[in-house]
Order: sequence, then structure tokens, then C-alpha cells
Amino acid sequence: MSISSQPEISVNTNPGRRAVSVRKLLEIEGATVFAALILLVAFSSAFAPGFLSPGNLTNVLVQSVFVVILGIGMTFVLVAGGIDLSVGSTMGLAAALTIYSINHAIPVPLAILIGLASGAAVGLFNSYFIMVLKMADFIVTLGTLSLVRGIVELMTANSRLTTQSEAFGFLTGGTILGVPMAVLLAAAVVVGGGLTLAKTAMGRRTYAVGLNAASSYLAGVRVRRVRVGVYVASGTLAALAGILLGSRLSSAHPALGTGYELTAIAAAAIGGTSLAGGRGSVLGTILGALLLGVLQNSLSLLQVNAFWFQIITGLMIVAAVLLDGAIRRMLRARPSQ
Amino acid sequence: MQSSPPHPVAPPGDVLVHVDKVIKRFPGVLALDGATLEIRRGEVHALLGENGAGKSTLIKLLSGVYQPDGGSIQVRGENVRITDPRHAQALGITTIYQEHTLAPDLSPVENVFLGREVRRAGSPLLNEPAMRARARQLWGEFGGHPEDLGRSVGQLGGLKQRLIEIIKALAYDAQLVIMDEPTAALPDGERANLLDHIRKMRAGGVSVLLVTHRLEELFGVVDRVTVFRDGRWVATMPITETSIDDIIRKMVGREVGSMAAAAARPKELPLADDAPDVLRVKGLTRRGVLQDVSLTVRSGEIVGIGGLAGSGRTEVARAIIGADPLDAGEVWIRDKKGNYKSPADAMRAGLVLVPEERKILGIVGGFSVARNITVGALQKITAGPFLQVQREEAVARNYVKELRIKTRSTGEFIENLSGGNQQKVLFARVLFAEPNLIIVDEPTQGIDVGAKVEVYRMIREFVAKGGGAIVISSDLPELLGLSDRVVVMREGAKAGEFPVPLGSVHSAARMDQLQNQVMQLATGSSRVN
Repeated sequence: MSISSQPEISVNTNPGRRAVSVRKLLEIEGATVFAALILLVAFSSAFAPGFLSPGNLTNVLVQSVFVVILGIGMTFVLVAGGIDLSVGSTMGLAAALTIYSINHAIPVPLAILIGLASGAAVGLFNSYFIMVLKMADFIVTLGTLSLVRGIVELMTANSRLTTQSEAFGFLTGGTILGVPMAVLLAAAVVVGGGLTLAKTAMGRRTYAVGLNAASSYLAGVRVRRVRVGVYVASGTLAALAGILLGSRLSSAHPALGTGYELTAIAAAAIGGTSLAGGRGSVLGTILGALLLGVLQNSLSLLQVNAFWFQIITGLMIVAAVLLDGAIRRMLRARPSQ
Repeated sequence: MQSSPPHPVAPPGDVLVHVDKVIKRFPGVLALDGATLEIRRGEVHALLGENGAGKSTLIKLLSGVYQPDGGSIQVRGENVRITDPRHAQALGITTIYQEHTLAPDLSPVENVFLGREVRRAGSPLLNEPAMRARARQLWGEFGGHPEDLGRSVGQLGGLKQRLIEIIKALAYDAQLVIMDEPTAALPDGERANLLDHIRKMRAGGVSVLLVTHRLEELFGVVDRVTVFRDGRWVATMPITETSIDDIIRKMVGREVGSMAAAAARPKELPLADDAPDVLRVKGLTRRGVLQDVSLTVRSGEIVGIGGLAGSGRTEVARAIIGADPLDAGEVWIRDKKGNYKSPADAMRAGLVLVPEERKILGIVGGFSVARNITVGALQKITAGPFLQVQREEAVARNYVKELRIKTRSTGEFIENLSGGNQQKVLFARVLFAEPNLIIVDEPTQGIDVGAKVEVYRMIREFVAKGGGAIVISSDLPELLGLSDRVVVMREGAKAGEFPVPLGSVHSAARMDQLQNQVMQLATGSSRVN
């Protein structure tokens, strides 16, 4: 397409100033999810009894921590053009291993490291099959979902793993300066993940690989390193989320983490991450996760049947992707010569 | 602009499609500004112009993808508003796009009848014998072997895929077949073959509108040519009354020397006899793909790699930069051995590739111009782990200016640039890595005349500064014009190597002889068509 030197011809009969400023607003990443979140919070404050109480708000945050952490790992994987269905099972594995280790007199910090390492190992396992054996991400991680879940069930079926360790309980129960530990940990992940994806060379390469792995490879991007990296990150973050959930429950049960992979994908999709790769942001995913958390909380405060949460989540995913597509087409409208 | 075309208007009964003073606007761009085109029944008509001249827009208007903002389109003398591609097909207009649109896993017959399968009367079941018979008949008319129809399309070569797209169009009873760069992806031999088939369509009374950058293909195939420039009609001429030089002059609006001459090494800058080796490659072997390929590139030298498609030209390049694993062989760059494990390793050693198939293997679509430039060498714009966006912006701005990349801004999505400008961005990308040697695979594939000259200049300037270059090209005048030495590949092995004496491009006889030499080596025969 050549750039015409002609004066700009406006198609819109009245482009005006407002159109420009709306356009600017829409260009801000996550603007629409943010607006939706504000609307939902306003609605809940007005109609859901007790929504604004400090206890409830803390509760919403702590509830959302797991999806936020998982969602950030998922965002890395999705941006790189993959998908990780194994994170829910990995949560279960890490929780079970950590509690098992604590129960076998391993110091809590070391037990947590063991749990995190198990998540990294699942990530390596996934990326080995995907990169070296060149299998589809969806199939490999679907297999891992089942395989790891089986291990968790083996570990927990006969004797439910419980712990009374106070140090372990502090991970979610404790507060520093009044802020729950879990929220602080999640905030650290948010800052680290957000900066990595948006501001570092590693993050930039993650987008490049998701947009076009073949051309990125020939341009000098180490595609394999990026893809292994995102799966290890996703596995490790899933492990962290699982350990936190185990701490909150003081136990690991066979179904711990089940279904979380889909919630994490939903949070990312609502936040504008493309399942085709190359697009998405940590900020969007957090907003998506918070939107889901607030929705679930206010529906339960309003004593609406929990099935409605499922239905509304479904509608929200479709609406978010639809809206996102429409906005992008509008912003990118160009002659495709 | 001209209000009415001065070329003689054919008698109305003779005219199949008449595009009259059509206007098409996009935000900020006037893509067509009163464009006019007249296609007669049973003629092969070429639509020519540089990228951005409005050819693609016009094709999309005729095939119903876009609707005009002004002017009119007449088909068989009647004003029509072509609402969508299906409507265009109902009017007898079928378009074969540059990007293949066949489903590779389906058979040719399934492809031909895709979306309008023939059913048995009064039944939802497919009438496969009828479809097979029709496809076989059309396929036979194009000299195709019935056996091909039993395979999946993906297993057939480029030429046969093109032919299947043509019989697909004919099976729609098309009266006008629009072909966008039909020969772009084909090797030389098959190109001539396809052009023969296009002539055959004309004999059957079908009109063809051909859009191509390969001007030398026009002669003997097309009846008339129309040239557009900047969205406007410039000229329509019978092919017998024009020449390549005349067409180019009308396309660019100024004088341009011959392409090969534009590529050639300037006489005052001969290659130094004592220039040191930049790259030495010894015995590259990859089982079943490459066999014992050796070559050297000296500082300031351009080495061309010729050969037919599939002869291993691209594979040599991929093996050198570590994109494919080697079974044997050595790669030395400036006296340092580097058998690279990946393009990233090769790049850090100063060895870079501008790949063929720009859209698939070159650009990172969805990234801006700036990000496409820096993506391979991000370490040069980081402080600690963090990217320095301002430095990136400065780098990009610099290249946009230096290489005269036409773009609204460095933040523009690369897919919104023309092919020639995308190619310049890819050059900026490899230059940013400060390489010792660049390998350019099909440097000017699908880009317009003006951009070609600039690409040649970029390669020249790079070697003038002491770098070395390998150029892979199917375009023989380009290959011989650029190269100081030519290596010809055949079936994965080196078939021969010879120097191109300085100044050869200025002698037509010398160029003919060199082209013959390449073709003889490439085909392994002394008989060359």
C-alpha cells in the first residue's frame, strides 16, 4: 500500500473530536474489561448486601488469587501460541507433594520448593513432547492433565493429606501490615509477570513466537527456549497456586485444582488474550480474573443459584472475544492492498 | 487526470467487462481515482503497475470483495453492482488469487467442486462419477494425467495446483478469469508451460485478466496491456505496439534502465583480487537433501546460487545458518569455524538470511515496523533485561529514513506495507545485526520495479562496505546481474560454478550465453528451451 499524498478523505460524515477520543480510549489495553469490572463493582455495591464490607472485599481478593496466578502463566503460554490444559492437575500435584513433604518432617520452605519444582517438571515434560517430539500443545497437555491427576489421586485416595503446620497455613492465613500473604504473593507474581511480558526482551520474543514462529526462528529468535520457558513458567505458577490452595484448605484432596485450567483460560480470554497467539497482556488477564471473582462473589451474596455463574461466565467469554474483535477491526481498518 | 481514455473503444458487443472511472477510497488513501479498464471477449489482458497502483483494489472490485465509491462497472453492457464473490461468479467472473486457495488435503476433484458439489437428482448424496467425469474432461484438455486426480492437491507440484485452480474456474463457466501473479511461485520451466495454458483458455473464448510483475512474460501471451499508476489509468495498448521499456516508463513515470543493468556491479568498483574470504563452506551434506556442497564468498563479493526450484538452493542457505541439521560439512566465517545449531547462533556470528516467501517466513505479522526490525537482535536495545523502547524507536526511524521505507510511522503494522517496503524492513532487520555475510533468497519476489532497484542497491552497498553476500534467485537476469560468480545447484549437489565477468550485463549476447550456461547446468542437459 502506498501512502497517498492526497488530503485525507474522511469516510465518516462527521468524524468530529469525540470519535478520536473514543478511539484513543479503546486503544488502551484492557480498557473494555476495566470498564466492565467497574460496572460490575458498582452494580454489586448497590445491590449485593455486604459487598463493600472489608471482610468481603478481602475474601474476593483471596478467592481470586489462584486464578490470577494461574492466568498469568496461561497468558505467557497463550501469547507464545500454545495452550496449557495441565495446570489444574499441576495444582493438585504441587499441593499434595508439599503437604506430603511437610508430613514427612521436611521443613516448610523446602517442602514448598519441592512443590514448585514439581510444577516446573510438569512444564518441562509438556515442552519436551511439544518441542522435541513436535506434538500438538492441546493434545500433550490434555494427556498431562489426565496423567498428573491420576498421580494426585494415587497420592491422596487412601489417606487424605492434611497438615496442621502453622508456617504452611501462614501462606494464606497470615497478613503483613493487614494485607493477606496470598495477595502479596500474587501481587509479586503480577508485577514480575507483567514486567517480563511487557518490558523485557524475553517477553517481546514470546509475542514474536506466537505471531509467527517460523519467521521469528529464521530472524534469530531461539524459539525452543521461549516455548520451553513459557511451559515451565506456567507449570511453576500452577504449582504456586496449588500450594496456596493447599495452605488455605490445610489439606490436599484428590480433586484439588480440578477445572481451574478452564477458569484460567477464561480469565485470559476475557482479558483480551488471543488463543491464536501473539496477543494478550498480564493486566488484561488480572482484570479478567477479578471480573470472574467479583461476579461469583456478588452472585453468591445475592443468593443466585450457582449455575448462573457458569452461564454468565460463558456469555462473558463470547461477548469479550466478540467485542475485542470488533474493536480491533475498527482500530486497524486499513485498505488491504 | 484524463476524463476519458483516448484508446479506441471496442464495439459494445465485443466488450465483456467495462470498468468506467471507478473510485475507491480507504481511510487516508485514494486507492482508485477514476480507473478505467476494458476487457474484450476472448482476450488476454494484462493489468500492470507498481505496488500501490491500484491493481489489487481493482481486482477486488471485480470479484465483489469491495464495492466502488464512484464510477460504474458494466458486464456484457449492463451496469452491475457486484455485491460479493458469489455474485461475481454468477456473473462469470472468477478470480485466482496469488495465495493458493486450494485445500491441500482434498483431491483435485473435491477442490474443483468445493462448495457446489453435484448431487444425485432428488437426493442429498453426491454424484461423484459426474464430478469426476467433468474434472477429468477439463484436466484432459490441459494435458493433465488422470492419475493426478486420484491424489491430494498437496502432493501435486506448483504448476499442477495452478492448473487445478484454472479448471476450477472453468468449471464455474467463467467468462473472465482474473489471475493475480499466476507464475509467481513457479520455476522457469513451469512458468512457460502455465502461460501456454493461459493462451489455450483464450482459444476457448474465455477472457483472462492477468496481473503480473514479470513483464518479460507478457509477450506472446497477452493481447493488450493496461497500465495504472497511483490509482489512475495511464495507458491501454496492444502488446504489439509497445515494449518492456515503454511499459516500465509508463508504470513508474520516468526512465529506468534495464533491471539487470540496475543490479550490476559498477565498472569503477571491481572486486579486489586479494579480497579475503568471508565464508567458506566445505562438503555440506544432509542426507537426501544436500550432497557435498562447497562454496566460498569473499569480502565484497556477491555469489549467486541458481538452479531449478527444489534443486537445493534454499536448503544450502538453511544449512549454512543452522536452520536445518547437517550430517556432514563445515561452515567457516572469517576463519572461525561455526557449525551453527540455530539461526540465532549464526546471527550472533554475523551470518543472516533474508528468506523467501516473505509473508510466511519473513515478516512477523502483527508486529510493527520497528519491532520487525529489532526482533532478531533485541540484545542490542536492552539495559539489563529491559527493552529500551526509545532506542528501538531511534533505530527504526534511522532505517526507515536510510532505506527509504514507505510507512506512515515506525509503529505501523508491517502487513500494511507494500511487498517492496516489507522487504526493505527485512533488510533493516538483518543489517541491524551488523552481519559479515547476508544470504538473500529470492530478493525481489513479488515486488515492483522501483523497489527491485532499491533492493539491488542495498545488496551492493552492503558488499561495498566489505561484507559478502549470497543471492538465490529464479530470475536469471537478476541472478547474473547481481553475481560476481554463480553456483548452480542440481538435485541437491553443486552442478557447476562459473564467474560472471564484469560488464556482462551490457552485452545481450553475453547474457544469453550465461543464461544458457545456468540452464544447462541446472537441467543437466545441453538442450535448453
